[in-house]
Amino acid sequence: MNLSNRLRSWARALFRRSRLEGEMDAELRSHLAAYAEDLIRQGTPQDQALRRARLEFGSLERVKEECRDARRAGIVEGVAQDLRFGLRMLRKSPGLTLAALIILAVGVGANAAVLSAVRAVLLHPLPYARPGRLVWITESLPDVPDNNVSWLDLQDWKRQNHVFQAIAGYSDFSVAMTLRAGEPQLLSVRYATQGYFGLLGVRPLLGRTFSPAEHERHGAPAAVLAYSFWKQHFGGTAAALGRSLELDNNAWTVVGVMPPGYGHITHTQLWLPFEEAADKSYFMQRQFSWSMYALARLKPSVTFRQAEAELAAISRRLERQYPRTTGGLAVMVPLARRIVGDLRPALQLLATAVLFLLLVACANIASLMLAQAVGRQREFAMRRALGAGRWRLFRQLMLESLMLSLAAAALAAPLGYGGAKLLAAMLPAHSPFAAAIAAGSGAMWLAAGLASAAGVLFGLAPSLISVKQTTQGTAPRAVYRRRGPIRAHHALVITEVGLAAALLIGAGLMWRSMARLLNVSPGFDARHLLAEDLVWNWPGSTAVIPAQSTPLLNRVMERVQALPGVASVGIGFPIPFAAQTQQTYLAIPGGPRGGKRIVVNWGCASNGYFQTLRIPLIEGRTFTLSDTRHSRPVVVIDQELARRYWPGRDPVNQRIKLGVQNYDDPSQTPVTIIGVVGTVKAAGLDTDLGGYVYQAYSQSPRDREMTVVVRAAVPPANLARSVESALHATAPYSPVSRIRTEEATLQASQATRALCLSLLAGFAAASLLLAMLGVYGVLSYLVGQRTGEIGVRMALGAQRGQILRFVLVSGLGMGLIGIGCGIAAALALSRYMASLLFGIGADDPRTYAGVALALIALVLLACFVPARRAAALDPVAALRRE
Amino acid sequence: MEQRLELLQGTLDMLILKAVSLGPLHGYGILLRIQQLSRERLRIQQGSLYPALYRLVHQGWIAGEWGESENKRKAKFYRLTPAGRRRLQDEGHRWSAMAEAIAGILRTTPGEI
Repeated sequence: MNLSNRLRSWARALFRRSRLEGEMDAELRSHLAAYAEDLIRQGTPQDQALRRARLEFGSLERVKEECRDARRAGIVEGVAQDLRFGLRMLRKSPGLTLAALIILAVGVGANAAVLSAVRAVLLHPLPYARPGRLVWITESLPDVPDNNVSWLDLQDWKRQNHVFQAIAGYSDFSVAMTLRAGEPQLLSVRYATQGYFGLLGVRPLLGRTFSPAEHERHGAPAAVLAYSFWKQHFGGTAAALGRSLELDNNAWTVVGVMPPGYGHITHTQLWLPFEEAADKSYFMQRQFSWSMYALARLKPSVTFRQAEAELAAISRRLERQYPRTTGGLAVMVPLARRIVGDLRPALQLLATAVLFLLLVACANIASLMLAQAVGRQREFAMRRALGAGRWRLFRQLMLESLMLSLAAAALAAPLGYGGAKLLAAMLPAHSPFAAAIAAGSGAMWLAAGLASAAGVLFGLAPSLISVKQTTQGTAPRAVYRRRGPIRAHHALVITEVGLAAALLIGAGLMWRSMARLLNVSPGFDARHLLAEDLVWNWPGSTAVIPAQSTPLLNRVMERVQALPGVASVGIGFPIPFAAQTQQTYLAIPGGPRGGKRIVVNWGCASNGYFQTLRIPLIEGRTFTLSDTRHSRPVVVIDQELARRYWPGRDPVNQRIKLGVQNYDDPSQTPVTIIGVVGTVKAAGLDTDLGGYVYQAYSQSPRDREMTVVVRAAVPPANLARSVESALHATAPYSPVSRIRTEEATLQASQATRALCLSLLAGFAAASLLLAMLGVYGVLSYLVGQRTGEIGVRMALGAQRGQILRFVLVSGLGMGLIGIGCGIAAALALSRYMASLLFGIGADDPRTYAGVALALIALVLLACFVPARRAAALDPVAALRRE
Repeated sequence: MEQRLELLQGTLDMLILKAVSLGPLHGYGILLRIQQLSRERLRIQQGSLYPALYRLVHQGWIAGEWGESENKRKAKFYRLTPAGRRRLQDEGHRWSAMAEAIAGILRTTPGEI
């Protein structure tokens, strides 16, 4: 028989059931009538003929049923019947149904939220063509792992490699956009070298990307806009093409607009040709970088390892060729991994944790369903006796759990959607993935899919076990004492306790890391600090000319200092937690360790900077107003630098050179160390930077970006507006941006960890609760099932204490096995979270021991109520019940 | 009176196909036709006829259509489909082969082994 026939028949069965029923009825009646007529003809009295015909025909209903079966419509109708019956059963025990529903909905909702985030961040992090083939390349020096790439090195890689389809460089900067009316704005731009857009495989939405001529130095200054910037500034009209933008006092012509979604990862608002913008020296001298990093696309047949090996070989060759000037050894990383950063281990951790939670929830519901199914043994035995097949009972139970899980899916879908939004809100501020996660796309489907899968999963075990039971025993009472369901219960509870233990250990490790981290001093006092970025801009020139900048910045400080609520003010770069750090070469007379290159972190600071941040002065002095561009050049170093290069000696009044690798290099004049300050955790509490050298900003005119920090006597956020207008009033051409409090920045630097901790703690608490409920439930069940046995024991002289112990020990036994499994699982899995930990190992024995002890106590607590109930049994009543 | 035979398991379908191959019939008519063709020796349980008919319809070997019976009664007439005709042929061949084989076995005398 072919499929279409079968389908047609089923379809008929479903949709025209009543018509078919009617026809069947008519057909049978017509048969009976014809037969009755024949009987009359053969001499049966008319009044008896129909009755006799019916008798000889047999049961009409049975024939009809067999006809329906023959049509195979039976399965569809049977399911409908099972559904109705299942609904009645679910309604009959509303408490159980509701509990199962809530447990499942929460478990599935949490999973949907986390998995939709995993999908957005780990599976589709990049909006580019074939993103898996893209790599990010940096150069690595001993003290600076992510050093910028030198232009000349990049050109050599391009010429010498056989593994990349394309290679291009970029650097991210800020530019000041001057508007005809209103305050200047700061824009995030990405300078892209030739081939950048082609490499990513991105086509512009409007217009074009840069032409080769525009990639020439002194070509036509062209700009490509990000979609959001285009919408915001040009209202999303095609008329934007050909318009001019005033960026850093130069006119740039808009040639193209990128489609939505491009640039948001790096917060890029527009792209400019790198070659047009970078300093000339950069193209001529290998040791200068201009904050450039490189991107490359692997050739289709080349593996990551092959490419890595070849790039390293080229890079080593270059280092031999230009030993003192190359930027370091090239290191490549998959681009997606670079961009996703520490969200990757965090989401992997959370996905595992939330899966554990779901499994605990499923195990819990499976035990509920199992207990219920065992309670329904009498019903099953009855139905079997009435001729229901084993498959039929199995189907019935499966359908019931499936119904439950579909209801749970309906609840879980909005939970998952809301959860995704919540998760996005907990991400570090400005995370490029917040929007994608908040969209919660797929969360609904995930919820539905997971809930159905879970329904099958937890419906399967109880169904199999209880249906098997009915084939073994006929008398329902005999079924009760079989070990099958008890063993299944034990296995489920052990699973629950084990998973909860693993989750608790994960949460414990995270919590201890966080506690350690919060004990780390950032090296400055982040409370009551307001910071605003100022980017130097001057009509006609973006070059920072000390003759202009120093007096202006002094005026800025005076003006801000005079504001009510301001305790003190300083200017510097970079401010701690500013995400980016800058490095420079440092040369010491004689040089350490055979004239090796020393790369140190570089900053500049005004008078009042260290006092405002409350960075302690260890020795000497910090900058004052008398340190000017005409006075002796001076620097302040931090304790870390002093410890590394002047161990056991006083660095104050020592002379060094900055920006050169060799002290004998005559291109730089020496500077004198005037003081040593405390070490600041500038890149985050968990990061140890090398040492820091600070120049007086009046003597270090090279950087356009600086931060004004204000220590406030009032809540710092209240000062934001007045400080901003003071800056605008004093430096009207310089855009102000990134107004923030340092406390918020400090918190944001820990946002990923905090997110992990709070979610993990939540998952662990929920699974712990479920596991305890599981222990409680199975012991109550066990006590209920063994009432007779306990009664006999008591009748034979067992003391109540012994009964209590007996129940507690059986509960504790399960608990201990579960805890053991959980510890083993945690040991195996926790090394994957090592990068999220701080100050403790993934096998931190105190965490493991603490969780084990706490769980033992909690399991005993959960056992106690059923144990008390068992001990309080009246032996006579118990025996009578039996 | 001749002895009436109970139908062998699995042969009802084939008999129905044969009965309707001679012309469209309603359910009761099929019953009568088979009894008539077997010279009243085969007896068919009335109740087992209809499930068999529905099964054959479902398998696409016969098709039912409402019409009017000889007694001016509305009745469902079944006729053989082309697939049913092929099926009947196959069944017929198989039955003959089987009957022959079994008859061969039953005819065997001790000397022949």
